[in-house]
Amino acid sequence: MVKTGMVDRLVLSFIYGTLILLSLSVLFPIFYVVAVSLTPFEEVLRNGGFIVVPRAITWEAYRIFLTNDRIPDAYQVTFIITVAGTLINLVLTALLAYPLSKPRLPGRKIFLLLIVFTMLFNGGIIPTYLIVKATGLLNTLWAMMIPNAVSAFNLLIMKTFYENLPESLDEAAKIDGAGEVRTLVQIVLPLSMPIMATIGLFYSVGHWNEFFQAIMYVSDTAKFPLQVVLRGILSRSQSVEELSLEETMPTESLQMAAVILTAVPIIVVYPFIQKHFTQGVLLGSIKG
Amino acid sequence: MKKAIPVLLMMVMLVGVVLAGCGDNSPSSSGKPSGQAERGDSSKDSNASKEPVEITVMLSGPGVPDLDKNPIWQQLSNDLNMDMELNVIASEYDQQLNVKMAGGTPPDLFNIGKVPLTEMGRQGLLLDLEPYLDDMPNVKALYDENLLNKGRVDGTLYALPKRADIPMDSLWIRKDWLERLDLEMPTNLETFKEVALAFTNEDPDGNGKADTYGITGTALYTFAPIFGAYGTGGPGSYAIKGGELVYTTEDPAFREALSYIADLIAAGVVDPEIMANKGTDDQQKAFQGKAGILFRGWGELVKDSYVEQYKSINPDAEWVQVGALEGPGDNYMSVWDLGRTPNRLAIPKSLEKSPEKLEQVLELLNYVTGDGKGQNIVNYGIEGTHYKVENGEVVPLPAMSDLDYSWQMQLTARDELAYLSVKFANQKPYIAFAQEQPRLEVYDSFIPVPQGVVADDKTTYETEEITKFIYGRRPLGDYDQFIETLYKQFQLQLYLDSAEDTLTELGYLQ
Repeated sequence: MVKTGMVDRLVLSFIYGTLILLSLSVLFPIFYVVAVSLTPFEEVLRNGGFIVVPRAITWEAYRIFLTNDRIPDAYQVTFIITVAGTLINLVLTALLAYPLSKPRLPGRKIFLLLIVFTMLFNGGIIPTYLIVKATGLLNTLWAMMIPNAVSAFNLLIMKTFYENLPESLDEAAKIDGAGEVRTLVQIVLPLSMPIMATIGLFYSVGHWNEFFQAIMYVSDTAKFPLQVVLRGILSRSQSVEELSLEETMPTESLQMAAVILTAVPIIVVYPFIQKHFTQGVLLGSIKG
Repeated sequence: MKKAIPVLLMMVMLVGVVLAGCGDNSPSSSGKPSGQAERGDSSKDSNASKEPVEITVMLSGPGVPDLDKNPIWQQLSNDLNMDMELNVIASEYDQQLNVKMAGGTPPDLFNIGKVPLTEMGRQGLLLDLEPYLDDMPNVKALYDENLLNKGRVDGTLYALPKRADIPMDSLWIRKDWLERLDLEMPTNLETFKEVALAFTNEDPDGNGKADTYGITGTALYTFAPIFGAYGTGGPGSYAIKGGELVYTTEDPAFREALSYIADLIAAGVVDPEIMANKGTDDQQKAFQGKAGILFRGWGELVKDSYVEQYKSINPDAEWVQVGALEGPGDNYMSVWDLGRTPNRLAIPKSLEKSPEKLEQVLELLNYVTGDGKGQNIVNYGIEGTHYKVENGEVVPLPAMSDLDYSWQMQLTARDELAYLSVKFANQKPYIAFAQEQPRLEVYDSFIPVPQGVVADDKTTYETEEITKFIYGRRPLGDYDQFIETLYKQFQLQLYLDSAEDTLTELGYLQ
């Protein structure tokens, strides 16, 4: 018995050891980013450009960002497009995915084909710009939410999820007198929280990182999302020909602080959504 | 399951609340409201009877503060009685310009790169500025034919180039290292190599570790002064020697320079990461004491903030400029592109239909050019706040350092030397040194890419193969073969024809 205990303990300590090493290898880069963002840049350079434990701490990099006038607006814009945009995404994607998951829907194949088509081909930047302009979305926050409101990829994932819900659930609801809308809202939706959380996370990270649509469709600086503003603070002249002698290259500390400022809010949200990933899909809906 | 209804209701409410925030009523920190308030004060002006003319200007650059925090913008708007919407774009500039042109909403005045200028000019999207030069007397007075040529496509003036800057780069060396090792300042290719060897092998920082290299830099640009010493330029430049067009890669002197560089690399005195260095990587390595020789502009070595940076890392460090090295050639420091312009400005053809706006744009361009008030505003800010004038000289006040974005508002650039001596008074000797270095004149920026070829492919191939030659991966004996491939596969002849035609047309070649 003692022997097996020893072996068990050995195996366990090996497993834990490996896991600890693995998690350290994941955590270390994050730690490094934090450390550099808090260290005076001269200190970083003095240490050959690499530091682990900061010997001196400065909030200078964060001060530069947080005292920038555009930052409060930018956080607000990003928050709005993330929350509202994700809700729009989820409502529209679910409303499209649910009917498409029903084999009895007439013309289902054609719709699916059209949707998959958009995954492979798109109109290109200029035609899309013309549509955004024609629909009056230019220079509004809508321009960052309405185009791409339904992603074909996420739609297919959601459709597959709905297809895997047992038909008998549907039938049971029907027998109890529920119509299509009631079935979707009261039966299917509560069961699909895991997929909603997953797809919602995909969408919301996308909105949080919104950059391209913002620079293409929005020119009012008050409506710039966070990433565009951070990029503006970090970038020097992009044109290689034009030198800006007055400005000093943003330091690595500044870049790392920008990483922290955009990543932390998302990291904070993760634990609250995570529980949905682990929850069983059909928890308590059908027995036997 | 009954819980679902309240949850759904909440979601709907939340959507409502959040969407309400998306409306246009959010307080806009940019532009117009405060801009119009500004104009309230100007009622005393003679302009007051007129409504301010609205124009849109799109520039590429890292960005400028919004109107309410941008005294330069405010002052220009006031002086010219205009309502200028200014967008300064930090990324994907060309693409944004493309969609705006295609979408039928071009800005009234915008920056344009060389390639889009050629394309849009030939498509007839841009206004020919030649007839309007008379409306801009300051521009007409300051722009000579050579300068205007930089904005011409097939002989038509589709863009106003920014005025050229001056050469700023030179060789730099760690003076304290030279002194510690008791070495002379290198003056020719032999002593240069000796110093590089000593910096690598003789522990110039005295820390007992072999952790230094002689030379660092970024890609082939690292070796610009070596090509210069051989009397030629880096790969892919068009020079004129003895009245004949010379493509530097083909120049026999270039091949000799390559073998010298290959020797340096084989001796291990060059930072092995030069091909991977980007941005200011090399400058930071130099500041960290990893290398003692560097080819760079003075702006990245001796600007006050950078001197402070490298002194704080090592108080003994001292970077000084080295003059052009003597070699078998004409001893140039590097090349200087006569066709170079920091940027260009174009006006859309469609603005012809709005004469009022066009007039305003021309007035703006005229105002910020020349040594009058407008030029001083975009250069130095507001007199009394950002600068004062003493004995006819501009003297900066402390507030001037808030205007580090001003170069983006300098639509037609500036009189470079006068400007630099005001803004960088401490760096004057370095500026003069770099400017006085002998440079091989090249004409690269004048030469349009011939139709039907992909210039990037040629450049990539050229750079890759030259890298192989200097790193000994391909014997220099293969060089003729390499040139042959440039002709056969990458149509070098078309480029040379294009260069020949253009330079003859411009009068540089007889």
